[in-house]
Amino acid sequence: MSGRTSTLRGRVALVVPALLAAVVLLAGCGSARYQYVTNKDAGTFLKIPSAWQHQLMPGPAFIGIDTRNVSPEAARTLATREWVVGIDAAPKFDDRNLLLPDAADPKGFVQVRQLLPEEAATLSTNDLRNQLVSIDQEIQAQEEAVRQNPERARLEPEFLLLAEDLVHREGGVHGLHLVYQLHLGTGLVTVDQTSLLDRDQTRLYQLVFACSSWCYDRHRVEIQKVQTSFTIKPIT
Amino acid sequence: MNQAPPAQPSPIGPVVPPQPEPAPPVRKPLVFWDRIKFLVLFGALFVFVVAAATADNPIMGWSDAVREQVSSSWWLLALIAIEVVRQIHMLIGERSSEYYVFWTDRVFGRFERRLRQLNDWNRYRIGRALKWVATAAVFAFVYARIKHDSVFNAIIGLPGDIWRAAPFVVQIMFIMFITIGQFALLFWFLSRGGVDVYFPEDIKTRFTDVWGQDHVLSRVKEAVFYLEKPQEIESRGGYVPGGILLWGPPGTGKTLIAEAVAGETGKPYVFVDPGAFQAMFFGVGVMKVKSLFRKLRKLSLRYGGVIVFFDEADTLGNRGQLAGGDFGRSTPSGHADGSWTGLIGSGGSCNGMTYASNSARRQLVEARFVVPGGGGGGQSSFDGTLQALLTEISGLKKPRGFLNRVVRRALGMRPKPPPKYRIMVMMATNMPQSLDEALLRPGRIDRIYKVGYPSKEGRVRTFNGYLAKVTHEVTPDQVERLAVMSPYATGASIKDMVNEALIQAIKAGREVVTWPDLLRAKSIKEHGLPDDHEYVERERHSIALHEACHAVVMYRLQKHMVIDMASIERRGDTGGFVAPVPLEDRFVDWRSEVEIDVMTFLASIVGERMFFDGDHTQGVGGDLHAATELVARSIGRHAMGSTLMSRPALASGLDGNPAHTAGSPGYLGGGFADEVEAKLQELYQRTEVILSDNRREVLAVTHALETNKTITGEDVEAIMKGTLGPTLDGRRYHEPDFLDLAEEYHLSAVQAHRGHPTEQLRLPDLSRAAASAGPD
Repeated sequence: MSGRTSTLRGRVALVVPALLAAVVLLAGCGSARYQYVTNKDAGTFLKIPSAWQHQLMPGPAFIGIDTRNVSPEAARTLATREWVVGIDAAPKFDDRNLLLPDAADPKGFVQVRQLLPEEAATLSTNDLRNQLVSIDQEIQAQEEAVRQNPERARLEPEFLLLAEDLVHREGGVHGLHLVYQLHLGTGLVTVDQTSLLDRDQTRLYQLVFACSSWCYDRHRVEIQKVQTSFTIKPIT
Repeated sequence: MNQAPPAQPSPIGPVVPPQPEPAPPVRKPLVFWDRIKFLVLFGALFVFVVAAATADNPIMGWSDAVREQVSSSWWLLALIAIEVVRQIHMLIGERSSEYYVFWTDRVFGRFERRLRQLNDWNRYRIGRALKWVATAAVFAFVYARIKHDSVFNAIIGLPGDIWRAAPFVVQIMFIMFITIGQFALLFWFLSRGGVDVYFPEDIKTRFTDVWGQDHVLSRVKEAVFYLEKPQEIESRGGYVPGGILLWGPPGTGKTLIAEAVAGETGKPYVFVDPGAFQAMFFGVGVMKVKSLFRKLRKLSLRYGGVIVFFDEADTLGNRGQLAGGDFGRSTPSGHADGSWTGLIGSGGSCNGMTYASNSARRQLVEARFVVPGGGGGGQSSFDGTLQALLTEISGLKKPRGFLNRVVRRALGMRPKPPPKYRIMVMMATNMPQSLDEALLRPGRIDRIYKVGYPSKEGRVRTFNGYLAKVTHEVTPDQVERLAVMSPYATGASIKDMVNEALIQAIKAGREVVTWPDLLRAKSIKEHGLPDDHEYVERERHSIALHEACHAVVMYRLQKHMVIDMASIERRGDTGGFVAPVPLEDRFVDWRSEVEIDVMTFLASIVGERMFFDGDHTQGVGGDLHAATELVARSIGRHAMGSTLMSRPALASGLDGNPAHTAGSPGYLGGGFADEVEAKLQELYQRTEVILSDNRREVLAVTHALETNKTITGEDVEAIMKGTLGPTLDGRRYHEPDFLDLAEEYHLSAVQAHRGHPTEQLRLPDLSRAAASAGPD
């Protein structure tokens, strides 16, 4: 009996390291398909293709804020409460041209921003439409252009809203997902913009990608996957 | 032709067994757990980091988490790989001797040798420090992962985190305190009490207050001396005696001696009540013992020594395997307390026990009242209290104090050796056989003193001491005589006797205690009060004659005892008795003395048959029983008969074979009963001769008993010698007309006994010589 036990133990002693080694080797062989951009303090998670680059942006970007209306105290608060990570599908991260809308590769950012008290009190889901580009104005301008020159305006639209979806997530997170085209001097640009608010509307979570429409079409699937993975778990 | 040389005788010497060929050295195989423990640790850490990654990130799957951790926690995998390689190295070392020798000698040899230069303690400390560092590293790593911070930052932030967590920890502790604390408090309350601490000035009793126990006192003083001046013995390599057991009959002053020790010593004195360790709940006794000894150690360190006294130590119990009846060092000898007589005397017409010498009485008592082994008196202790006490008295000497034990050890220092506690344990009991054997071993209770009955000087001093408190007219000679007459008097019984004498005096309307008061008090205390029963004349005569026969044979034969008193006053089942007093405290009896004891017992049946024409009362039953038993025991054990063999040795068997088998004589086989009967017959005839020669004396003592009901030993002596006794005049019995008067009276009593009509039976009046008058 004891002989059998010792044989069994001997086998287990060999099997355990072998198993461990196998797991390690298997795991080590394949490199990760995704990399994760996370801010656990803000409860923000995102996964991007492993070939893409991302980088924490230094200093507050104040994207979407009219800084003239921001008091120095509020600016300081924002500086401590703001988190922006730039994302670049190019082989090398280019932080200077990150916000260039007509890039050949998708570029964008994910940001979490503490809302100013006055914003928090007045902001509605509809207002999220006009956070980066004033969609309502652009639509009006486009309609006006169509009235003046219907044919040209339809063939070469200055603005085209491709998608507008209301988003409702777990934990009361809500917002909008917009995809729109802009006609800039350098060509057509597609912007994929997700703006979310937490239940109490104290924080704004934004994921924005922009690149030329040709580029967007090429990377549509990847961008959609990234957009889908954009997960908010508000810290209570 | 060559002849082979003669074979040399092999030299005588120890036979050296052939040495087996030593096996080539290999590494000792590791046990299974040692083989895998580091792999398990590192594997568990890796699983932890993977799990932590998935737990932190709701969108991350296990495969991605593993992939991510392979790159971020690569060092863990490296450790696993190193450990695998190490285990393979070990495994080869276990199989291949060359490989093992190469690595141990060539590669690690120098390091190993250097390591061996360290002493065991340092090696242990280094090993312990490394384990601590490794454990701290694992903890820091896990904590940092939980905190999502670097290890360094996590460690730096740890005090702050602890501070922030403090309120919660305090809450938890408070809840635990409330939950556990109530039990602790309950048990603390339960473990209180039963222990009192006295300081020297609290107690006024001194050694000079203990009378008649000088031999014990000197030994106790000696022990206290060493406790007070430990350097006297410790500087010479000895140690202060740790324990004293005072044992002896009740009332002999054991507690008084202990009290005197408390009064004389300069050390604190802790008194433990009997039953202090009895508790309702299991384990409280152990707690009490522990708390008692904690207190003792504290007192011992503060005052340089402490004395603890356990009164009635038999309550501590025993574990059932002790010396039992074989308390060999000091089997109580010479006990003649009333309990034995009470036990044996019942059922007979007279007190059969009192005629025997002390050791004969002891034998008779043993035969009837078998003390169950281990049962003596105290209760058995199964809850660990006794064991705790044994351990505390002489157990492991543990290092003392939290700082010493924990802090010094944590700092890697050796704890200081335990201090020398000088705790003297004193115990007192009157049932030494109830104590646990282990309690009495040297090192625990190493001094065992019998506090026996006080010496004669002590009794005189005690009598004088208590008599000094009352008004009396007792002369020093009478006190001396009283002391001789009361060999087993203790301080307590003397105090009681003097008080009883005072009561008798007050009852008689006197303020002054007199000699007769003391005699009466002694009689009352030793034999009880008579029943105030009046016998019919012929029965009175037969009982008086019965006792007179005992008294005369005792007087004529007993050399080591004198008669204290003889009485025909009925006391319960006892019709009458003759009480002897030993002249000295003896340990053994001689064969001839046992024969005298038996003859004293037989005197009643011999006398009754002689005086009543062969008839006798059933009152001789008790005497015959005792006589038979004494003879049987003496023949069976003490070679009183024709053989030398010891019957109990045969009965208990040889080599473990019980002797009570067919063909084995056992205890009672082999004509034993015949031998006992023959011996009894022989002693019967010898007694008959004595009584025939003393017919007048028997009738005289009978008359004195019938007249006075109770007479003293000195009265008996006066009758025998024809002198003046304390309560009667013995001279009258030696006048020529006495024998005729006595024989006439006796004859009429015999006729009355046979149912013949007779005149009114009248006790002869010897008033002419004032037989019943007191001494002039």
